Amino acid sequence: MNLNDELNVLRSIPLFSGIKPEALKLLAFASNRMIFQPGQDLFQEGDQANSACILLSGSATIRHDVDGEQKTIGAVAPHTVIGEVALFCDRPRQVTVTASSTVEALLISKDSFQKLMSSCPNTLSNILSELGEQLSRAS
Amino acid sequence: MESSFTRYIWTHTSRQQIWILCVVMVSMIPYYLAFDLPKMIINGPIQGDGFETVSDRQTFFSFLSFDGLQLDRTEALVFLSLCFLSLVIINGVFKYYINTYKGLLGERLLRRIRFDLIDRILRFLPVEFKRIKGGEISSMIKDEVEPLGGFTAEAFVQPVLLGGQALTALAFIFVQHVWLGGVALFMASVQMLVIPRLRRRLLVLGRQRQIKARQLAGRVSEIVDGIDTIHTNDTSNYERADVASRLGVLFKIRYEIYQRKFKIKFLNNFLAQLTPFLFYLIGGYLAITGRLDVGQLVAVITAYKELPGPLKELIDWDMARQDVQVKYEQIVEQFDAEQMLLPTVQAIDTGESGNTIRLDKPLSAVNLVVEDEGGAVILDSVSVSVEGGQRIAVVGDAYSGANVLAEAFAGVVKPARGKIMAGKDNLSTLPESVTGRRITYVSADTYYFSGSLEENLLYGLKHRPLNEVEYNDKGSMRRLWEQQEAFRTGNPDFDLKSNWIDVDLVNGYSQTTGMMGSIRQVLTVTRLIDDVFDFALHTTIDEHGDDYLAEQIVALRKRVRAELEVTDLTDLIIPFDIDSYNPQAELLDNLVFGILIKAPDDQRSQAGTDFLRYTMALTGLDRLLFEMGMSIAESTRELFDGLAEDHPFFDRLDFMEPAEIPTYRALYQRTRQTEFASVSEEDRYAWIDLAFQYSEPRYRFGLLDDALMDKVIETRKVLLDTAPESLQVLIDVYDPEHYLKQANLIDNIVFGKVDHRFKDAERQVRAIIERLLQRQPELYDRIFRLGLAFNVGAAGRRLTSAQRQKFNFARALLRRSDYYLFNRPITGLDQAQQEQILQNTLYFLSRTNVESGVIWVLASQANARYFDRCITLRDKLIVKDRMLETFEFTPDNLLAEML
Repeated sequence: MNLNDELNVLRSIPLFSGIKPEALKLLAFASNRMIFQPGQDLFQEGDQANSACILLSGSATIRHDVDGEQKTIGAVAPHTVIGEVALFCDRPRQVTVTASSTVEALLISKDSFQKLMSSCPNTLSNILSELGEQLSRAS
Repeated sequence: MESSFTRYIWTHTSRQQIWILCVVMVSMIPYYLAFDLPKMIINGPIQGDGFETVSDRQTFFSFLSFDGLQLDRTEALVFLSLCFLSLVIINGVFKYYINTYKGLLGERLLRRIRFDLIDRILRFLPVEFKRIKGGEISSMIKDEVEPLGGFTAEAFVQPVLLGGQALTALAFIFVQHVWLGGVALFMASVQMLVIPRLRRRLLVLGRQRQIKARQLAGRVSEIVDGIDTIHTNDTSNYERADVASRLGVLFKIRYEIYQRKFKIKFLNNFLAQLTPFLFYLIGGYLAITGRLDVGQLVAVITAYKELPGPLKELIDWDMARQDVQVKYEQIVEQFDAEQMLLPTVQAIDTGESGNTIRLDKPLSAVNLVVEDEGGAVILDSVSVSVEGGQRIAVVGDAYSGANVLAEAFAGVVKPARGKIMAGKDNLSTLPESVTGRRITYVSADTYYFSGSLEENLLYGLKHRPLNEVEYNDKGSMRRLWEQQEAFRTGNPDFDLKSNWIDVDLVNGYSQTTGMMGSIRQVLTVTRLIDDVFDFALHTTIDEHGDDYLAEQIVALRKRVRAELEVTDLTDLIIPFDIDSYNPQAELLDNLVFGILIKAPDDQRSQAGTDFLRYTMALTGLDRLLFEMGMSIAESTRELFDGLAEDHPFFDRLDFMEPAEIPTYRALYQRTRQTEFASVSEEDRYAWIDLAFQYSEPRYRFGLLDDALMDKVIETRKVLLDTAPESLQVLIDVYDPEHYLKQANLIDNIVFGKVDHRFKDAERQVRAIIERLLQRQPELYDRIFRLGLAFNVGAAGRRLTSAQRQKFNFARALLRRSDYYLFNRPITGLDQAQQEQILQNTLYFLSRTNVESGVIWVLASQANARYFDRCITLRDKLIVKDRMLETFEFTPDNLLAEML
């Protein structure tokens, strides 16, 4: 999977749909692609959050600490984004995400994302619209 | 320091000044003889005065005990010429000796001044450092004192010599004619009075220039220190404006100096020429009226020629004297603090006392009041006592005074009222050889000098030289010279090569584990073992030339491979294989199947390049790489088109600088429509060089397909099979049986590249290597030492900020002291790490130095539970002081096993 394939995956994710393809490709280039072996955590609950993960392949489970016990509360399928809140604020991770098979993920750092946003103000308003959409759907 | 520079010079060099004056006086004899001799040669043997007939002889040296030498004309010519030659040599030798001696005097005084100034910095109270700027101070010590040394040798010799010459000429004129002598004296007096007055403004300007130049040095130093802040705040143009404004002021001052300097020069020359004018006018009139002999007038004018030179030089000397005096005053003013530590406080202890003296207990603050520079109270009437062996947590917010309490105990701030006592001793009266060893203080501020990690870690142990170094004959001669020169310039003669580390003052030291054991313990406490091991793994050992280590590493390869297979982690490594392409390595490394070595000469380098190009052309790889280079440029253009050159994303572009983009754009325009064969060689290889740097996992442009990789492997084999022997040495080929000198340690150990696409790949591989090395402690130590040899860079900039705080803390733990004052020392770490290092530290000190007292100003009150006692401060006062139930602290397993 090369940069163009990554671009296609990003374009299919609603959060990034408002970003121009050329900016999105640059964002992909500035991101790190990482392989997680089964059982490896993509991130852990309580960790300082500094990147969003886009699953390019493989699957992962989402767990949450309930009274000191880790409970599975969901799963992540390929071509979905997780931990995207990290791009907008400094909250610690709220859940633990663990690779259930070999996962290949694109890690978009908050730093890269914000640098891109600062150079493309129009993109920022598109993303905010999309976030607003998501919030209204959630409520 | 003396207020007058002349007095300072005289105090320290009077004997040498008198000596050189005597030598100069003596040197005048052959000097004047050499002037007279040519006249004797010309008039005598050459023109024949006294040798009217062939048999005529003349007597030379008749003043000696014998009757002198009777020489004919030819003999006299040879004799006088040889005398002339001898005088030339003697004068040369005198000149050489006088100049060298003057240089020596100047350099000694320069060394003395510099040392005096640095010594004063070391004795400044901490509050002084809030006033001074490092850049300005270093500029003063390095540059501003330089002219002072140069003047030293001229300080007394020059006025005596030049004054003597001027007076002689003046006296001669007076002898010829009193009136003309009076004219010469009057004009000389005018010169000596008027010119220095005019030069006063120059001195003022010179002083301003010095201050402004020093301030500029200070600003440059501030820019360098704050470069990250400048970048992140986009204030570079503000800095440019500031610097430009300062340079403008400096320029104005310097230009005015030039203008005035040359005006004065003009006036000086005019006055010098005015005197002959008066001689011609007045002397001529006197001669015409018969009151002066023409011969006398000529003699006066001739004698006057000898006057302006010395006068001018005398004025210059006076100018230089005033100039260096101003410079000296400026410097002394900067280094003249009102209060300074007495030299006795820092005096080096020569006996055993330094190790055995303990601080009396308890350590206590009695009615302690600390004020800031403005006189505001920052700690108010605090009384507290710390027993040995007690672990005390101090908590409070940033304005509570908690940190000030620790600073006061450490002597970083001085009490305004009250005192710090160690038993019955006032801490301020104890020398640093006691307080600086028996109390260890560490805060979040770190201090690093450029050098190895190990040197930085051991820094806190270097209090005094402990042994006499044994030198060979040549070495001891050099050492003796160093000691003598140090004595002559008021410098101490401590031997830097001596052992400065007293193992009695090292925590956790034992004969069996040695210093390395202690270092490993404190690095385990501060969780830095992996960091140091990482430094080692990224080191290339070629420069160290450690063949034994290289052999051991090669032997380790198979075991690492086997362990990776057992743990099912072989995916983490992409091995170097002659039949396959290694995507984690750059294309060029894949092509040559190794790492290129810098050629010993240009000719060999060119031969290597030619052969590589020839081979690529042979297999057709050159065309593919040419196209690949163009594709890389095309992809880069697509990505970065329209972005400003300083856009942060350019940092990810390793193969191209933003400034090079226009060059590549022009190259693209030139070559995109041109047939490969028609492209110039330079353009062709510009694209191929770009392709050489490509790595698919890093850039992901999708340019490396199977066909291309196969072609690279095919070319590689041709290259290695056919390379002439003279060129084979230019490649450090990946050979499983040999150490790769150009590669770092980890590439050598795994004999491949760690696949960085896998999360934590390097950490997992490192864990395996460390596990295997546990069975080879000697090899582990050797590798670990390479990590300790890591150069931390200026101010430790090659370390992360967290590492800087942790190593700084580890350095403190290495010292065996009676009290440890930890003033929020590791606040740059996350909460969990801080808590674990705190537990490790308390455990470590309870095992290695149980009698020591600990005062720890905490960043988080939650961690107070690990202490015996908790003191809470609020609004500069102690509001609570309570004993605590000791909470069990759990050290890291590795530390527990170690102790």
